[in-house]
Amino acid sequence: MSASTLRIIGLSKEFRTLRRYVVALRDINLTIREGEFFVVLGPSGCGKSTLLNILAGLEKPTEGEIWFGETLVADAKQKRSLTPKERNVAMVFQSYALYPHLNVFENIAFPLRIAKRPKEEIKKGVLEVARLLAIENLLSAKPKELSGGQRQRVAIARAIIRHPSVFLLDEPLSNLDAQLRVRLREELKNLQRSLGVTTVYVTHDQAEAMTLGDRIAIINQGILQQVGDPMGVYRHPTNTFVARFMGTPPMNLLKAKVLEQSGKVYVKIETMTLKLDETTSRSLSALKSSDVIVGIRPEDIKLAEQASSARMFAASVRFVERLGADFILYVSIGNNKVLIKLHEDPGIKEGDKITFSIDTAKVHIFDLNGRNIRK
Amino acid sequence: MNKDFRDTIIFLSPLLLFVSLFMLFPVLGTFWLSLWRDVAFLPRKFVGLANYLRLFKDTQFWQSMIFTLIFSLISVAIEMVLGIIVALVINERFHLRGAIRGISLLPWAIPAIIGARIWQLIYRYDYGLANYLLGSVSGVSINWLGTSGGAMFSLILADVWRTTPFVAIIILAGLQSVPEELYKQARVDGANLFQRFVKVTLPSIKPVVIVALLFRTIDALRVFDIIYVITGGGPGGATTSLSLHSYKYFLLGDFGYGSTISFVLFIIAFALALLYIRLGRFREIAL
Amino acid sequence: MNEEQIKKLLLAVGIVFIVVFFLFPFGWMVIVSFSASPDFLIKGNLSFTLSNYKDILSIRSLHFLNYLKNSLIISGIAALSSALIGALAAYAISRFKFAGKMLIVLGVLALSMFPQISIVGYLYKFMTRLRLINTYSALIFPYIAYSLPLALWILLSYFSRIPLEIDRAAQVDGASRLQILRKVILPIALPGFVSAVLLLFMFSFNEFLFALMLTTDFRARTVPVGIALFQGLHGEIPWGYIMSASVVSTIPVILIALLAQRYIIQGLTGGAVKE
Repeated sequence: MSASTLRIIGLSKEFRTLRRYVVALRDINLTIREGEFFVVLGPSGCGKSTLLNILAGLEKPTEGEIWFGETLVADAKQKRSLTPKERNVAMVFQSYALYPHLNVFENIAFPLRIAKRPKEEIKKGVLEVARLLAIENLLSAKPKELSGGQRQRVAIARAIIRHPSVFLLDEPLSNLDAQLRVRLREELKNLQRSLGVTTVYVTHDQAEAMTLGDRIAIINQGILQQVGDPMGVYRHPTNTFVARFMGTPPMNLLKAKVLEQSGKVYVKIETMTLKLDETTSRSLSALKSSDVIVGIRPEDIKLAEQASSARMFAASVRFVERLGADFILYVSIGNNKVLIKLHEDPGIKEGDKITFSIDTAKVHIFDLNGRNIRK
Repeated sequence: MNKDFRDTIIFLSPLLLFVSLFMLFPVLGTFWLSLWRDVAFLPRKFVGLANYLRLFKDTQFWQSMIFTLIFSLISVAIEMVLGIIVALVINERFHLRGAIRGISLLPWAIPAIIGARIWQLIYRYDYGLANYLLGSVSGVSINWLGTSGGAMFSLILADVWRTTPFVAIIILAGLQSVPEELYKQARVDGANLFQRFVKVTLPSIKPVVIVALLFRTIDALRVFDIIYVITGGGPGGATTSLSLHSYKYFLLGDFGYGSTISFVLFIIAFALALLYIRLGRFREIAL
Repeated sequence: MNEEQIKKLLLAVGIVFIVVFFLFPFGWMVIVSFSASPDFLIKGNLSFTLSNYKDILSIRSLHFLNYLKNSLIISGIAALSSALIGALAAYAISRFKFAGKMLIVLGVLALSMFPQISIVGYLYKFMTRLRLINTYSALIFPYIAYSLPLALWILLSYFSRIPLEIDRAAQVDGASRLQILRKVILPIALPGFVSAVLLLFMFSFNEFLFALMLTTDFRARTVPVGIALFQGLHGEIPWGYIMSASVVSTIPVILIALLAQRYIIQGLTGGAVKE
């Protein structure tokens, strides 16, 4: 199975209809490595599916180029765009898009039938991928007789039977129930590893992105926000959008004032004052403004015994969400609502006063435009 | 070149070709013909709007216009009422509903000419079924096709028989789109059968009724087949529709004036068609 | 009487009305077709005979079998062609983005409301010039055009219910647009295609005015014209022949209507009526 590097250079996509003018993607630059499992993450309507369609050759870019290895597959300037067939891509859709009038065997065989391959080869190929996906016993069933998970396997089988050089998946798990989703996630990852095919996976689910992706790209409103390995993006979000999008519950973002006292730099949130470490302090000094946004992940806040140190803060609990394994506290700090995530039942009720500490090494500081100042 | 653009043209061109060559072009041709004196055995001559001026002096044209309008108005009105009743019946669940639906299609499914021939025989003065039944009840015989009122009535009845099924099917579609919850709600609110029909059913099917009404009106205005067979336009031109009036000139070889009459009918039908499209039920089919 | 009973009563009355009003002319047609003379009501000489049927099927100068053959061939070809052309157009309209799409749909829709009489005069001249009068082509071409709006309307409502992702999947699987239409869309929309072909067949089979103007004798004349112009051997309207010919020619359409009523109703209403 051949795999190739995907390069996306200066890609933009605009839609023009009679009444509207929509920019779906703006100046996207990305390199997806050979054999990589690459996840494109973003909220619905952010342009990620459009990106996938352009990679597939189902839509044409308004600007920019796309290279598959050494082949220029789309070039807006030359108005050139290879068809999906010429690109040798395979795609799995959210709705599975199985052909309802064909049985499972014929669904999987469809790409080979279109390519007019010999009967023997088709039969061999179908049986092989059916075995790989454990759907051999379903070959004579019609799609409407299958469960969601089975349909998705058929769709994947149909996609890989042609030995594509690029494998594109458009939210393939989002129509499945939670348990099945987790199981198929793992299977998909293993399958991709064993096939070694360059894979682009589009999703709006950050947990899926974290578990599946070798690297992830986050897109919002048609603009690429950040690219990197999942933990890197989680630990160092470049802006408040990424910061809040990655992680559940989302990162707390609080307005703060920068204070300098005898060479030391602090941020003040309402009545709370946080002392910052050296590097953060230096970046903060470079920033001219005294207004910033402080980002604290709910899991980086720890409950503490009463008044044990100067770095303790007090607040009252408005609501406790008990999720079984995790406990989320909704806390008011002045006018700010802050979420705290705990792994053990703190035995706290609504209305209780608590004290907590903040791991300042893990605090993120953003300017008022939402950009991480440490970038 | 953009492949989809090329495919769009390839896929649409057979339709556009056929429709332009055999419908659009002939209609324009009809207008063009209406500007000529084009009578068999006479030299062709461009006469401008002279044929249209001739319409004003053509008393049969005005009689045909009035007949066509009255015929359309009355028959469509009756068809709408009967169509709603038939639709209500075949929308219910009952044993053999499929068969009754099939029967409800029959008058519309067979050639209009055959239906017309059957009615023609039924209306026959001497040995028709209508007079036989009437005679055995009251001893009276009616000259169905011999008087202008009788002929009008006979044609309307035949047309109602033939086209009520079509109206019923269109309205059936409307009835099926009324959500079941609406009826349940009305029941809970204590509405009786009649109230449910007036307050729930009728308002819900109003758009479909309007569509059926306009479509049928346009269709009724061009009535030709049943008149050609049942009355031939008589007695004395009383039931000559605009289509038939125009056809009689074509038959005489007067294509200029025949086209003029048919073009007037076209304008009337087209105006109604535009109104129909403006009401825009067709925008709903996802595009 | 409670409401449920009233409803049942009204329903029963409605069913009786439908059966009696819609069917009695058919009954009359059948009775006359099997009787020796049509005036039995006043003469009281009702007698069963098959001679009307024998005559129309065997007397060649009546040409009934020619009419029937012409009708079946012309309507069959017109229905299939129109459904295929309509399928191509419906595919383009439901799948491609292009300017003026609405204009084409509404324009074609408006065409379906043109009175035949405003087309047939010019068509007569046109066909005369092409020397096509009294040939199958003289009817097939106009029938295709005249039934295309119906074909487009039926198929469009079926095609637009098939999700676009199916097309995208097929495109990625390497299929061309024509292959997608042939191997994916048409098989999925098969009930719609069947409805369309049946309705289009009936549409052409029943057409009268074009056939009246554009044919002159048995070589191309269709059943409706034949039945409208039936002349007996001796002048008087040959009711026995007319009714037996009507019975024979309505059998195909009656069978279609009764056996495929579901498809026909779905076709006419864009699939809005289920079951």
